Amino acid sequence: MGTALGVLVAAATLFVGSNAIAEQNTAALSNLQVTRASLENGLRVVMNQDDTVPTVAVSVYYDVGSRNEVEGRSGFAHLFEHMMFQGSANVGKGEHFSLIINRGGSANGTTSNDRTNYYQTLPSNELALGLWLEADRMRSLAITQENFENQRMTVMEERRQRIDNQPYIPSMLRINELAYGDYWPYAHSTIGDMQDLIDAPLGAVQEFFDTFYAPNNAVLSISGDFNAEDAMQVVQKYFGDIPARATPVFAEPAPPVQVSERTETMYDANATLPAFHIAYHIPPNRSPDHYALEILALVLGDGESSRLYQSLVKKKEICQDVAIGTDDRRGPDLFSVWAVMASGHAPKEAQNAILAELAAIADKGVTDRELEKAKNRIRAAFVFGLQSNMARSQRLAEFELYWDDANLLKLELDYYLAVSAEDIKRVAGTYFEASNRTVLNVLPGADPASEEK
Amino acid sequence: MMSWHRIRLAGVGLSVLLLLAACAGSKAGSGPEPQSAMGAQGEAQPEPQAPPAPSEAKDMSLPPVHITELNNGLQVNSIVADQLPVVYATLVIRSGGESDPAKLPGLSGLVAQMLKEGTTKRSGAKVAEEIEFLGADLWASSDEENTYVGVRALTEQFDSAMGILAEVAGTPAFRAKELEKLKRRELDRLALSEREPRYIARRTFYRQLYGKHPYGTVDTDARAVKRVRRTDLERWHREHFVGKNAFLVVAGDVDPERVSEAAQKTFGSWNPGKRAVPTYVDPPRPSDRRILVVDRPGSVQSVIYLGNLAIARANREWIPLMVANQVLGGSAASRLFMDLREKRSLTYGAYSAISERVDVGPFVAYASVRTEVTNEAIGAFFEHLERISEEPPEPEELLNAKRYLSDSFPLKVDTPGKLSELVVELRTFGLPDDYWDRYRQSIRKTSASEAQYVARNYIRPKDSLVVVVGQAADFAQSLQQFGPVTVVSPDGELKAQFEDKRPKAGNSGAQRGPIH
Repeated sequence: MGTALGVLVAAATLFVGSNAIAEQNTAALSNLQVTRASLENGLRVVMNQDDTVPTVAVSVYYDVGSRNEVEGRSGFAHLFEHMMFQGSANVGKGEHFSLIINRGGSANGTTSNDRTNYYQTLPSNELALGLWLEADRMRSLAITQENFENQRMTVMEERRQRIDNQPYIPSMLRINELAYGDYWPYAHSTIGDMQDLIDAPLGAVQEFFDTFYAPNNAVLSISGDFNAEDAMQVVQKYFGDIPARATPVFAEPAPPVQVSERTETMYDANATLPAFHIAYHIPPNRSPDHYALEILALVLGDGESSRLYQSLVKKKEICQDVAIGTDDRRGPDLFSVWAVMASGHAPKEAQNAILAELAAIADKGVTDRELEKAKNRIRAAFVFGLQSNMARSQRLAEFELYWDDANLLKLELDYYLAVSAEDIKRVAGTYFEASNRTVLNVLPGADPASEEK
Repeated sequence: MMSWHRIRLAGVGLSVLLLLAACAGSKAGSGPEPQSAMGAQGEAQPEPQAPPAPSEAKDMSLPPVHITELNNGLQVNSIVADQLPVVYATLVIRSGGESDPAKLPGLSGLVAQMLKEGTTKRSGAKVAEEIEFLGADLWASSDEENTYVGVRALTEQFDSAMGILAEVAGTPAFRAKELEKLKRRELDRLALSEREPRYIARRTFYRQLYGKHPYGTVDTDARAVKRVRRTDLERWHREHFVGKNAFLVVAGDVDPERVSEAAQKTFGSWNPGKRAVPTYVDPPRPSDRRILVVDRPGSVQSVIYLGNLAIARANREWIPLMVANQVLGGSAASRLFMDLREKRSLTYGAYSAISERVDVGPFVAYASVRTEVTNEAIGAFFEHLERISEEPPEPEELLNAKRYLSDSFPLKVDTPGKLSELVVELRTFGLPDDYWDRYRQSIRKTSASEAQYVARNYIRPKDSLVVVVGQAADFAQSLQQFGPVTVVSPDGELKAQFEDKRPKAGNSGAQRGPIH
């Protein structure tokens, strides 16, 4: 009796609660102060004022990533990113970071398939410093043989530390090669092949800079405690006279075509347990089906109450860990599964269970409660994701760069909330054919084929 | 949008790993290699522009902490930070690894994990489903000093979230069947971790540095996992999860009065119990350098950990030591990074740190370097450790270090979650309530001689412990120029020893590594 009543009360509270969440969330998003502008040289500027704390985040996103690399130059976009910290006309070698750190800030840059970003958070009275540093390297990067050799070595060390010496990381690179096949932009890794890093010539650095690092190929995004009009004057002063240049439009190859299942087994000497990847081709991020696929992935693998975590890790105990998600690329995307087996279990056991679960959703769909849970998670993630100046400046920059309008971020939640149970059932029945699937098994130990003398 | 999710919720999820491959220099960059490097720009260039000066700094005051106490002694701290409709609630149990029984290292961590595996009212799966349905997150963990159970939720869900937090922390079932499952997962996790060179280095370093002192345990081990029984968990929970041994920190869009009421409702029935005071075994006090190589054939890199016992967090010399460490290796603008990475290209990053502990905490310098330069890197580490402990920092270096540490403070308080962490730090280390209000000023007051004086006391290259995990055949013997070398397998089996071949102490007695 008592229990039943408790459940009813709880259910009623939740119902009221989630309506309230929806309003709060929509408010938090639509209350975002976003100002967009652009300079005559084509630099797009996004400003988001929020005076919660006296800090300011500055992000610059360039429309170049490893997808723009040509064959034989894998890893170059990332190697170039390192060069951006090596000095420019008014900034000495080694000074970029020290100027920021020594004034109380922090900074970094990252390279992905789709873009390269640079970002810093500073005390709000140092906004001019962040803008000046970004403008100086956009205008006048210092490219020397010495800097280049130093950064080439650093990147090779980064590869050894983060990939070659770690369990299960080499397979993360291999699954993309296998699934994307001839689709070079996403088939090759962002970190690059060792040999390509060794072969990269100094001349390519200037060429890369001239090709991609133009103001009209970038978005500058500022979030935090500042005044937009004052900031625009500073932006104009530092960036306004950087000349626009013709930049190439990304020549998107025909999307990857797969006609039959691909499978491969690789060995990982640093691993202790078998593991596997499964990848399915899906449409690009923010295409209509992508939202439904994201929610499907949440139902299957997000959190400890998700279907696959409960069945594979907790009930059957055949997996040590399982992760499911869309990779969220601008171009042709993947729906990815990654799992590490529990000791004594082979990948096949878990793979069969996952395929059966996908088939069950294509057949019966997800429950109302699962769908509502996934949407509650997304609503909350939007609010938590807006907390820091850095997170806001990056999300807004990305929307401006990829989708031409930072304000679209304010509407983004609506697309997720609009996904219906029927949509999920439909996409589950559309994308998970065997012929669209790539499976990579990872076995612990050295490759027996390579052990012969 | 998905990346927020997976990074925050799934932990070691798929996209985290994908992003790793993509990420750049963890802190790509450079530092106070002062003006000399400007020459790279060539001579005929116009006079370089100076970077813009800061505008007037804004004053920042921290929101007040409202403190109340329940009848059972449980302290409730609340902080109002209401820009977004979110709330973070953290229950802190003032016992962690320091209170593990000697035969069960990691017990506190296992207790924390089992909290989420079911309560007397319902299964772990039901608890997870309810919290996740709210769009909230629940976590439980432990470290050297404390055990934590936390929840983050939208403000509307505050009452529900507090209810689940209290249920999980106060009435865990510790079901035998769930414990068996957890043990199996833990054994697999440990086996995997033992393949990771940084994990091996960390575990070996802390064990060697602290001996039987509880800080010597960085993780549980297979023996303890196999041995632990349900009654061990229950006993530890009963003893430590009591009012006088716990406090609550709630930050976000909340009303302190409502927080007190909710705390009374959810935690008011806990036993007062008593505050658990740990006993610390004395760690070894070495009088000479020791070099321990853990052989990992096939390694493409050597992971180096190097350091000594240093200082307790509450010690008044903590701040000057933090300033000295900032000059040495606290960031990508510090000497170690500038030299080992930017100048010599030995590594992707080299840093040093002093860890916050109630009892004596360690000073540690660390880097992963390619195997061929292991020797050179260790020489470089010693060179920098000697310099920081023998000479006062240059005025500009000191100024920069202090400015970084003081001016970056607003970044430590920009979300309710971070504000909560500051309060946890106050309570854990017994710092005065106005500590953070005076923090920046204390940093700015540090003088060069103070920084050097504390560095000399707490950074001691002459009796450093050095742990290197890598392919020993390539470098172990050559390390004898720095001190006596012992080579072991990852299981601790002795493989080789090389005698001390340091040149006999001439002038300072400190050994210089062969550089260049």
